[in-house]
Amino acid sequence: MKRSIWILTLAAVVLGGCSTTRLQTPSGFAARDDDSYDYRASDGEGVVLAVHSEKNDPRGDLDFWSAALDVRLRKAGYAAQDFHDVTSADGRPGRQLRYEVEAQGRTLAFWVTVFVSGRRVVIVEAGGDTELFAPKTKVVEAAIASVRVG
Amino acid sequence: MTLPFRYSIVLGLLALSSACASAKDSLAPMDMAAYAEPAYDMAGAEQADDYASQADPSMMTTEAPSSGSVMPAQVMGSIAPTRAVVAGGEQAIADDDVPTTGADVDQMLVFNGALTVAVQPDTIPMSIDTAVDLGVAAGGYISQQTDTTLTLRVPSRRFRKLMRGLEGLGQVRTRSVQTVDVSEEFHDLKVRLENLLATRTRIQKLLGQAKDLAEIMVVEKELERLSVEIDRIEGRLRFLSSQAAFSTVTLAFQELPREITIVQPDEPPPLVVPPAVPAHLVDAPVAWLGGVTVQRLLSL
Repeated sequence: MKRSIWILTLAAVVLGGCSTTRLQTPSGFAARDDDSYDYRASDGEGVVLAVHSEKNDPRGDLDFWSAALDVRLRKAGYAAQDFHDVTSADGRPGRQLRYEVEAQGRTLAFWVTVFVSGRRVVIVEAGGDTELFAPKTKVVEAAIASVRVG
Repeated sequence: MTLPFRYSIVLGLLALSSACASAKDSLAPMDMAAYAEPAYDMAGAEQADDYASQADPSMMTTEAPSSGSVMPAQVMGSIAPTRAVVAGGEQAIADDDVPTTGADVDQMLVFNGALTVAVQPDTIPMSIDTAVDLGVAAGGYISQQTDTTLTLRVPSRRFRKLMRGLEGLGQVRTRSVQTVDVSEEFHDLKVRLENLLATRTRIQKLLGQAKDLAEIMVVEKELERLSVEIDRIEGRLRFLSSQAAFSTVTLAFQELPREITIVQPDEPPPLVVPPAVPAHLVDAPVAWLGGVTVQRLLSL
């Protein structure tokens, strides 16, 4: 009996640590299974929302990870538009980095929102053609605010 | 040979008519003062004066023309142009008058001025009131007024001064002054009038010598024709006298364009654009960072 309790406890800890982060799929979007992301959804016009979590290694805070992402993206040619401080549905502070980038003759909007929770870094990405993305910013903002980081 | 009296009357009339036709040329060089007729001259002056007095009776009196008048005495004869002055302020007016003509001008002139003045929106009624005040203060009166136009009659010697005052009411868009020299016409009419009067006197004498009704009818018909012509010339002389004594200023007011204030909509808060990333910065050595790209995100 005592061994069973230990096994169940270990399993709960392990499975809990591997729990995926999701957000509420906004109206007009459809979620799809994806191996690359914990969650991914797109609308009929190619605007995509995705969430993935990474190990917080090296151990960094929100400033570290947002700066690391920003440097990487801008060095890759992304033009920073705006930075926002946001809050997850469960009250975690996050930072939203907004970019535009020219790719294959298209102007793309790309939002990267970062949350840091102990051992994990949760990244919410949103993007699409600028002209198609712009009318949906409110919907995308609401979806990102629905994320539960844990 | 003895001619009947009837024929002598007719011949007499013909002779007088030809005399009238030639008298104009023969009398033209004569001094106009010799043909002064105070009766109608003063009537014309009084008419003009009546108008001036109607404008503001408490402020004006009339007096005989001075040597600086627009209508010199040698041209006007005894026809006295009316000169309206502010009661008790003759010297003050004489001092601040702006001469309309030079001292040597020896013509009988009729001035017609026209101004178009643009004023601030919604101030046209107030501007018209101010213009009327200026005209009345100059001894003039309102001739015609509408919502946006005003016609003033003002003593000719103050015409220029009034024009200056009116130009200060706003932005002058158009300005014109027309001067008509009626000296020659006035002189000709005077000569014709004198001749007609003399002719009438002679015909009236002939009337007393008429023997029968037919002769009387002929003479009276000629007298009637002469009287009509005399009345017409006297009216024209009075009109010219009035026109020269008082100049006409026509004002048209326009509104300036309204100033439109464009209210800028509330500007959105300025974007916080991060500074450019220095090239020497080294990427954090984290593999997954390289996978955060829009291309990967959009590759369905």
